[in-house]
Amino acid sequence: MLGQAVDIIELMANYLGIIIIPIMTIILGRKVFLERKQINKFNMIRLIIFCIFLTLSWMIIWEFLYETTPLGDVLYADLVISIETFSFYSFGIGFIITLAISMVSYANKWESLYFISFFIYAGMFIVFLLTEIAIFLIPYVFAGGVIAVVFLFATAFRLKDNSSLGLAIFATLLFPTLFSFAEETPVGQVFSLVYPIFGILFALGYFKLFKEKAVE
Amino acid sequence: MSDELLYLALEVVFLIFCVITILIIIRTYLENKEFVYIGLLVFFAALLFNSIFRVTNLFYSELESILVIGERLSFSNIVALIIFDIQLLFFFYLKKLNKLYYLPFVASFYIGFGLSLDASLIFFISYAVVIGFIIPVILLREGRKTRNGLAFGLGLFFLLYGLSKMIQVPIIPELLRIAAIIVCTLAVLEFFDKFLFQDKEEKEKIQSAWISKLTAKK
Repeated sequence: MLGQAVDIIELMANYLGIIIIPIMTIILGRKVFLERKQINKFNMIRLIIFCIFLTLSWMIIWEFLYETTPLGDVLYADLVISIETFSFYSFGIGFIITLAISMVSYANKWESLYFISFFIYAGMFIVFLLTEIAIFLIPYVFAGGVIAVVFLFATAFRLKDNSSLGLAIFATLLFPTLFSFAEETPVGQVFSLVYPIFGILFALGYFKLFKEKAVE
Repeated sequence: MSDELLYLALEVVFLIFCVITILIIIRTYLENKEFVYIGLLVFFAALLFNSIFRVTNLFYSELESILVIGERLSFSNIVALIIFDIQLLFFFYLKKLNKLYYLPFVASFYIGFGLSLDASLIFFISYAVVIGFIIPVILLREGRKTRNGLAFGLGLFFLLYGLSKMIQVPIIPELLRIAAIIVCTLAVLEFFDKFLFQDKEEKEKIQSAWISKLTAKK
């Protein structure tokens, strides 16, 4: 009975994710490019958030294709969904963490650290392409994820920045759902239903805990 | 044995200049507190360790093969990577590319990791060639253009030191290394700033001030 309920919730979460996350990405993308037209340059924080959602859409589409559609029988698991090695899905997780770390250093104006996460991730990917070794991926995802979320919360409260706080909460809700072992627990199921709802509120600009916007 | 003694003598000369340079850098850092001097300090500390290692290697040649991690990550390769990193870091510092400060260290980490997995030296050599020849040439050009004696001296040092790694004729590499460290000591002593890139207008002003002082006395 409980197993059935979990399966239903998972299916609902999959459909909710596949509908809402791309919509959020389009909303954010529109905002980013409209703002660029007005001020003649990109707002880097918004651009990074847009890239994060774009990557998330990429991941969710592959996950949906693999888990919910008949294509799952044809697609090769190691190439699409595996998290132990570089796949379409795990590449997305790593890239989201890379962008989140970059956003933390950008918001804090730690100029020499702006690209360090990109260098580390690019190095890891080149090593994988040359040797098929991806031993740094899982430690990077966990350590980087924790560092990014902690610093996003710290930055949000220090700078009273809604974008950082929204992204920190979104990442906290999203992180457990990215790994199948955590997603299958009841808490993981609740999170997988809550994060798209929070995400759409965040993308529409309704999440404004702090009244003043200090960053930019 | 006489060959070993000659190499030992040349290495000791190199060591002495290396220590002098480190002491000058520490003094300059205490005066200026500039980040780049820490990088240079690490660089010369690596050179010093490498030199001590070479001396030890003269008498215990099996040491080189013991200190190897994985396939080919030897002590001298680690020191070489540190040396390349600091060269690249100095270049970024000079060009004010502070967003790229950590790139050399990340690149070295992966090259080192690659060396521990596989005996192939292709990435290590590519990295060495790019940094060992392109960076010194840019530093020399920039140093001359901006009349910066330290940049010019370090460019010359990196070039001579890089050549010493490439040339395989006996004694010549050792002599090039000593020439390189002498040039470097002169650079940190501001020799090039004082004598090669001295401002002509300022020099003339000083001279004319002396002349006017002398004529006023008369």
